[in-house]
Amino acid sequence: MQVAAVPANKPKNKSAPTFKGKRGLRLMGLNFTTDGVVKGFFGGNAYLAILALLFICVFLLKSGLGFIPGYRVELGEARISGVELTNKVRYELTGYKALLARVNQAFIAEKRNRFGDEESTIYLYEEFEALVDDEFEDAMETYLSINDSPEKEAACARLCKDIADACNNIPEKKLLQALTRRLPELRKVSTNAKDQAIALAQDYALNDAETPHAVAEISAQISKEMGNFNTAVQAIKSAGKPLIQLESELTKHTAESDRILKLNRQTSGSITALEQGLKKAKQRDEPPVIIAAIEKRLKKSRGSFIEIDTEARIKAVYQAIENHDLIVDTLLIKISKAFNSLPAELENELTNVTIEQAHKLNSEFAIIVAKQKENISAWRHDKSITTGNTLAAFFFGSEWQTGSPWQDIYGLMPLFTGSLLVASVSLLFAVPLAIGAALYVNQFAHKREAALVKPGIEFIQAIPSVVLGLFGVLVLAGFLKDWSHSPLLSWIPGFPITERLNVLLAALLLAFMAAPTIFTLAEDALNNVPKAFTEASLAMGATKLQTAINVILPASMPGIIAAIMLGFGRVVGETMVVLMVAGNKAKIPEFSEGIGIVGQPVHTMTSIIAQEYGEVTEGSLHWQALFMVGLVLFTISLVINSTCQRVLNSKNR
Amino acid sequence: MNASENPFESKRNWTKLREKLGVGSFGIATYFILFCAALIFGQIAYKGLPTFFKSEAPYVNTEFFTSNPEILRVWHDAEGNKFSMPDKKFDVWRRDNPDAVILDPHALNYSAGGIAGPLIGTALLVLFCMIIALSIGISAAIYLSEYCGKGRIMSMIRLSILNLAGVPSIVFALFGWGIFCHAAPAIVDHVDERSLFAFSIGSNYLSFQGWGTSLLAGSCTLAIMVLPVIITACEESLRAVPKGFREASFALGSSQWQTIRKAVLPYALPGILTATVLGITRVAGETAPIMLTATSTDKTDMPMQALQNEGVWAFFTQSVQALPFHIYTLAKLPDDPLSKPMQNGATFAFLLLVMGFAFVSILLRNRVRKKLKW
Amino acid sequence: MKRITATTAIVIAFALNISATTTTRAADSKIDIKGSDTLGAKLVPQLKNAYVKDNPSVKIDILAQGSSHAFSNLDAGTADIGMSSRKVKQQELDKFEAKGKALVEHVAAWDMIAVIVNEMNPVRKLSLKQIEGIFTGTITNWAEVGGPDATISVYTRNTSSGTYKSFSKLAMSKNDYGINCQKLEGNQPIVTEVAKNANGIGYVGYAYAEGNHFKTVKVEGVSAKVSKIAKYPLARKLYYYTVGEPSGHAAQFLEWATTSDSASQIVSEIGFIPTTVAQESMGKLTK
Repeated sequence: MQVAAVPANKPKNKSAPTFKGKRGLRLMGLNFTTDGVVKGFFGGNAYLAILALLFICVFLLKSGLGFIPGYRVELGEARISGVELTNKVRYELTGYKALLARVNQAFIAEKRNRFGDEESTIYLYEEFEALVDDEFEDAMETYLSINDSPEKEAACARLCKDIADACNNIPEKKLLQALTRRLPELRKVSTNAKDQAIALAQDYALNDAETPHAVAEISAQISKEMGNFNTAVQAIKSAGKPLIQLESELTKHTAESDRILKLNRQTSGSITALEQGLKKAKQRDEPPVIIAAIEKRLKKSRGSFIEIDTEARIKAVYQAIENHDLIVDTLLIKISKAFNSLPAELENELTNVTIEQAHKLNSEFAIIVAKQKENISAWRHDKSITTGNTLAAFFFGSEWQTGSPWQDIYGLMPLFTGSLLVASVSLLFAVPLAIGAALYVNQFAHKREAALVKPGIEFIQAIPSVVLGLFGVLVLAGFLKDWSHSPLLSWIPGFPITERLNVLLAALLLAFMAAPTIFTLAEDALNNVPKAFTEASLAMGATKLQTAINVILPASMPGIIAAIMLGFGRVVGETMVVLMVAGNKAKIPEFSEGIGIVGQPVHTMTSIIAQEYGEVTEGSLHWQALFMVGLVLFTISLVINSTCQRVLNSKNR
Repeated sequence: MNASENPFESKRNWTKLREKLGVGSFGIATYFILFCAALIFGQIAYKGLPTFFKSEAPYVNTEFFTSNPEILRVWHDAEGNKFSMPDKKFDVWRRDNPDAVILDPHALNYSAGGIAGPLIGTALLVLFCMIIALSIGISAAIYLSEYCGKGRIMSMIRLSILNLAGVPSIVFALFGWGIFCHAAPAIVDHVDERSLFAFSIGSNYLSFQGWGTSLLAGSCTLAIMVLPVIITACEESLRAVPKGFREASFALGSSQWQTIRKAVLPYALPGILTATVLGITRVAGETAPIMLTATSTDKTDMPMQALQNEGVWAFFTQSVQALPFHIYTLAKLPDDPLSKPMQNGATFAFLLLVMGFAFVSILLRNRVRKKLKW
Repeated sequence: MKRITATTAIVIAFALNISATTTTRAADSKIDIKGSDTLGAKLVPQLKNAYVKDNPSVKIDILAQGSSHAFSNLDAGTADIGMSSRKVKQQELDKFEAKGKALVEHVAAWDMIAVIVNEMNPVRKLSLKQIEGIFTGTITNWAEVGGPDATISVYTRNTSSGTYKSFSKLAMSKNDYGINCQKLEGNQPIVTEVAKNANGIGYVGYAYAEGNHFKTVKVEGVSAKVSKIAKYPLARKLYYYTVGEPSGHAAQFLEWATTSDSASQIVSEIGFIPTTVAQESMGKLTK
């Protein structure tokens, strides 16, 4: 508006007094005419707004970037103390434990298949024990308080009879139900097992609610009778012992070093803090009791520095790790030997499947071991941690573990993949619906129909996210889980879903939030296509549908892509819905499950901030980590928005 | 129209079917979205409406809108009849029937009374947020569109403001929590330990110690959050006023300010109004920012009482209850059928409130579009 | 023009509000209580309700979002009383000592962390070792603890909860939670999920341990009952914290809430165990 300056600077013209502002003050070279003041006021506000928004960026950067050096120090301590190395060994151990657990499951499945009767004794006993706990608590106490022997005998008989009656009164159906959860093949509760279980329950009641030894003996007996299978499982179990021992020794040793390093850092922090506190307390003239208390604490803190010889300690770690290769190699050999001695084909389908899975885990474990062996031999404690390492640990770390008694781990990957997964699945639903609706409203709908439908869809945008989240938790979650269990829908991959709160639920709700955004913007884009395009196409004999799909849609593509991206931005940034319905499991979703991935719970970047902000103290590493997550969100939305701007602008040209 | 009656189209049966199918599926998509919306709205309304009304005259549950959340007392008598009563009523009843048998008494939080406190809290947050955001936002928009040229820097500023409009609310929440709750300046007569730094002015100190979890912090956070939206929308409606209006005004010799006041603002006002209501809709529905900066779960007083008793500063630095956060609290209550009416009622009331704003904004916009075409 | 000037005036007045004469907190009759969800969702609002009835001049505001909140707010001076379902950590204590202040602890009540499973789940008891295995992620199938062949869904509180940390200390020998845990906000969401997931397991405060479609399991053979508190391995104290010895209204409220009979009545109605009852039961055991 260069025109603007002309009349404002020529107030001398007296021929048009009505339009001219009063001649204002001139102070310190500033023109205090109305115009000047107004302009100053607006300009001031504009710069205030811009400054405030700029300040956000600076503040986020400042709070977030402090994280990197802080985390670097922690990672450095983990390396010097050897915790990092221990984690590598622990990673192997996790693989072994998963393998062992799977073999154990196969064993249990087989055991249940072969010794259903004996197993059901134990399960029935557990049911009866619960019954005794619930109904005979007072009776048991009265019985215990009796000391007189004949009376006691009578009471004993009475109690036993009551228990037997109560147990026999449980409907057969209910007992069977409890049993078939574990023994799915069972059709009938065996009387023998039931009687035995009742006897055990009576034993339990008479012995001051101590589980009788007989129960443990029964399971031991069953295991023994499993023969070959049992020895194989025991062999795998005992083969892992050296590795477990190595890990626990290393953990003990390195965690101790790490703890000392951390304590010393903390103590020096405490000392500075206490010194300040003492100074302040003295300034404030606090009562001498308090000052004395602080002085005492200060003295104690000064004395609590722990001498630590990191070099010597790390030497011990290197010594311990020397045997590592040998240990894992023997472990692998022993496991494969045990696997060979497993019966190849068993009657029970479940056992066979589980054993197969165990075989697969075994080969995976061998790969892990081979990789970790290399990693471990290449590991050096004195390699310093670079900023690059720290950044990699943050951005590519696969674990987000906070509030830990040992060491917090900040790895963005689980949250990032979670956010991304939820957002993309939600777009899968939202995009076809929203674009279809935009095409319909823009091209095919009657004018009056469009005038009703359009505001109707835009209206949806206003539904508050907390309300949608509540709807999700209370209504949709239950529906979705029930539907997914119906046999009619079992052909859909990923169904049935076991978790109520999952990606799919969050995605559906978010799709509902994103659809109006995409719809509005896409409809605008369709609107902007010149009429001539449509007319030309129709004149060529194309139908309305052909025109819409082949002419109008391609012509408005940039706008539609921008609409989709902005919808994506909206979904990634949504907090309350994902906090309430996504399940908050900070683990990288298992992509190996294919489409079934949508049934898993995930954690997202937005909900981690909402969930953990209450815990952090100002300026701590955790606080900075949350700001880093905020910074990542900020960057994502900036990239999306500016790309959209560019797309739209280039189209306009 | 029947296809067989039309001799020109008889060969194109397949095309026609495809046409119908295509358009039909687009139509289905459209109405599916609307159907979902209706389903959700209907479900919430169906559950929430009973809380709004009661069986005796005046049929409207005025208590629900005028009183604070209360405890619901539940017990049964010797015969096993179940009773439930709001806490205050219970006290009166107990005084009248001191001998009544009360067995297995327990109390359900926030399950009686109403939502007045949260409602007023939300209203105050929105009010102050809009005062701050509008006064800054509109002036900034006027400055950007009327006084500034189209230089590179200006277009960059515009672009970044537009970008900020899409930043997730949780990021603004984090910012507001860090700045307004922990580091904003306040004039106090006693510097708190948490102050970042302070210097004295006369008998008082200017201390950067933050405002704590408070109405002021919440309003400012929301204002910052909605500022980019308002600036962008207002600037757009100012730009939509044809250049000719301004040129005509200047030609008559009026100054810049006169032009803006008489020739631009009146025509942009409807657009600005729409932006305002849009802003309100966005702000009122937001939960995450106020959760971090402004709310308390339970509060004795209505917010206004602080103004009467303790003065202006105390009024602004008190924490308030807010409807969205109250709903979140209610969602975490134990699953008791007696707690449900409050939960459903509050949800529906909140939905109505926000949808009401949205309705007004859509109505306004449509009218603006119809009226102002040049 | 006038309108705009007026608006500007309001804005300026608003901005300058900061310069209005101000008062320091706690001089008035308002008590700000912040922290644990375990205490703040049920118990403290009811205590407040009863207390305010007798002392109408006192105002009490409550915000319950997790124990860590208590200490950050006490530190920031935005709370008079902090509610916590765990003991204060050394790092948190340092912050107070750095300012030359002491943190005073008041036992609010006793609680038992109940381990809950779905009613369909036949597992009725778990040892601490098994619980540790489940929550650290080494046990992933119910069959391994005597249940059906199904993957375990683990529900825990979120990290800012005191229960999260108490549980890690009491039941998991201070080990980290496994990455399979779903972290939920508050006790009730855990109850809801476990009640609706046949393979779910979670832990909640004793006040939430009764309800439909789920049941508590015995831990080390001891069930979570008030009479067994002395033997139950997952019993813990709940605390109020103040900066220095409390004074004025906060002191009176704390005195009333921790010692009076009417307060212990409310405490046991809610489903916590009043300190007196717990101590009595402990005393019996030592005898």
